[in-house]
Amino acid sequence: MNGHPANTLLEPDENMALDTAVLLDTMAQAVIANAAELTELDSAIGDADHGLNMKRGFEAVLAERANILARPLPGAIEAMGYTLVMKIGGASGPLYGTLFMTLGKELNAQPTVADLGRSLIVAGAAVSSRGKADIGSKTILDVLLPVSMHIASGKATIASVRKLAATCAKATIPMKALRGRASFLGERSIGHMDPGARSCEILIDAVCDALGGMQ
Amino acid sequence: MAQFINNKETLVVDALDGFLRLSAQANLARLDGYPHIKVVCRTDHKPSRVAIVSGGGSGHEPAHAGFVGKGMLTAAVCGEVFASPSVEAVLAGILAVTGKGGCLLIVKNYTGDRLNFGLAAEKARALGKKVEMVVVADDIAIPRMLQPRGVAGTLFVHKIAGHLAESGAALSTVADAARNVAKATVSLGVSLNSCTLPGIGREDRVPHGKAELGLGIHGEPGVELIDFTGAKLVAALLLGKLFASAAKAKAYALLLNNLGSTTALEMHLVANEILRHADGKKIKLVVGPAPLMTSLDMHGVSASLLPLNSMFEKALLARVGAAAWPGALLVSKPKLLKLPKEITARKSKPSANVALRNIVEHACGVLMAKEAALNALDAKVGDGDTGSTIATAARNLKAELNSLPLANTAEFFAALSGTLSKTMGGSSGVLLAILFAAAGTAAAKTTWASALQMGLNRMMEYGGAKPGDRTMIDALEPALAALASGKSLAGAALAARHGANATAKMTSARAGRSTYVSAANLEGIVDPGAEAVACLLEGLSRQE
Repeated sequence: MNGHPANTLLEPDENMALDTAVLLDTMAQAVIANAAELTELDSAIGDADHGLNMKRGFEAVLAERANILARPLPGAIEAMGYTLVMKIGGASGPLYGTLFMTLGKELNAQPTVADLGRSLIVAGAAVSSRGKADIGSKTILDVLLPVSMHIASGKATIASVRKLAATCAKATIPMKALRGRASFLGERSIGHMDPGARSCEILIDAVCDALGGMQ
Repeated sequence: MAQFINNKETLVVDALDGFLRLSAQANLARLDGYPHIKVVCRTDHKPSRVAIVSGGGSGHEPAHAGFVGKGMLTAAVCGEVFASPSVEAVLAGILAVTGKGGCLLIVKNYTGDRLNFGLAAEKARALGKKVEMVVVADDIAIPRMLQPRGVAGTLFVHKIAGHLAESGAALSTVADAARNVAKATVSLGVSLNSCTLPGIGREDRVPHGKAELGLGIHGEPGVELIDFTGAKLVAALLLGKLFASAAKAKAYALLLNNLGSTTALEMHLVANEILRHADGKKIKLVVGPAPLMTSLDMHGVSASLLPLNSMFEKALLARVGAAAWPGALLVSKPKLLKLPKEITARKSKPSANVALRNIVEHACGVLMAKEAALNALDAKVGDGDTGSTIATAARNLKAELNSLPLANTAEFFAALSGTLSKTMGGSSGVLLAILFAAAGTAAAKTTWASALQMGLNRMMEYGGAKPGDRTMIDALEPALAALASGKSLAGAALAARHGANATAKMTSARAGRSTYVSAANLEGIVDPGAEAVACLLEGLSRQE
């Protein structure tokens, strides 16, 4: 797959050359392939089902694939979000669903890098408000919000996005959870990576794969 | 760890179907939306009444499907184990049972449940349904927690809202009452281990001698690791924290919840400790003890407290059609009936015999000292209690020494029989009581040693065991024979030891608990009863 070079700047006015089918398949495959790791992370500070829930959600997306791909990119992303909300359950369903639905509503038909950054920030804010959480609460927002702002800054490359997502996911390890099931553990949540932050990193990596070809 | 499941993916639907196969007469059905939509609902709900819908992740059985029925829930929306059901599933549940009366959603306070039930409520409203939602946050484990969890106290809300709905109250009335119950209810749990997550296993994180206070119902660890020193202190701790958080009232309802694998025996013991505690006197009604809102197989209990008013009390006492609701019971003191007078009458007068007194006292000491060793031996071939059974009897005998007729052999044997029949449990207690009762009768006519032999014969007659059957008889019989033939205690002890050791080679027990144990597991292990006899005589002969 040819795509955007990993170390070349993502120019703000550059059109995102995103193939909807490639995007959908890459994200679904990445989530399904990493489900076991997510579940293992969740067993340390949650109830060991994040991987299973995410896998079920993206299997539902794959089942709806034809209907979703019948729409243009923004509509397809919104439809993915709707499927996740309606089918996943748990907390990740409504939260990831909100992320994708808001993102789809915000994106222009031919999104530029700047457009994607802005839409991601709006979507992140919607997730933050739905989950009543913010940066530092040990949730997906700890990856989603910094990466969104980085993309919007106009200084991002595919490599730098991947690196930031990984750094931010790791940064949740020493955090004390303030939201979600891990927050019931208080101090005991310290020392484990947040499964939601890791699934967000996996999805961002998948988008990078779709955008820039596999690493 | 192995579990009785086929696989993790179909676990919940397989179990729900098992429940539903037995629920047709209770007017229950499920929506045809497996595997994704798992909704159990009433088929006899009147659309003019308020529908009460609750649910959440599975793994809390009998919650929530077990509480669907007339006078309680109208529908339960079940998610996967510990995962909230999806918006679509909740919406399906609401739409299936909501008519003109509207719908009250009762939701435990977790991000997933709040979001999925909340979004489904929005969608149902957009479709023209009247929907209200009450969030239950009764857990007081974490001080200053912004979003306390919803745990077993949720069942008070289900019951009271369900009763009002069934009696025809309007949605706003039912919702207000549900909010009041949710606000007034406080809950706290204690556990001795975590739960086994299907397909994953159990995290053994509670060390021996400790307990977790303030655990969740999803295997999330408790907020505090406390020293576990028994049920009494746990009861006091729970009551102290619950009453400190609950509003003052004249009377309270208690919901005593088994978190999964606590035995019924332990649950009743905890109930006793709670109800006899000073604070427990204010408890008027008890729901349970029963598994109500479990956390899979967690070995723990939770207690929920609700300050009562007349409406709450009436609603809790009302009968329901829900399979798992155990009813609310009025608390009373245990009633006592007088013992029959033949049992209470004293049989003999105490008398003194310093030599015998010393022997008996020493024998009791020997047996008490062997408690742990005999238990350990019995654990290999029986149920691990031989040492305790014998030591308990010895302790009681020692305490009764001053009231025994020590100067008269016949009376002494009879009194010993009476004491053993009262204080020594298990079949060995009865068997020894028979031995000494018969020996007491015989002692009037013969020597004490041959009287004991006659007692042994009577014991074998009633008990059905004989030498070679791998019981205490294998040590007793040769020892008493040695004594009757005039040998010393040391000689009897030697005979008992030989007899006891021989039981290690008997790989087929023909009497007692060891008959259930396979030959391979008996091989090389001395029978604990025979060992006790040998130890006793060895101990006594050393003193002589």
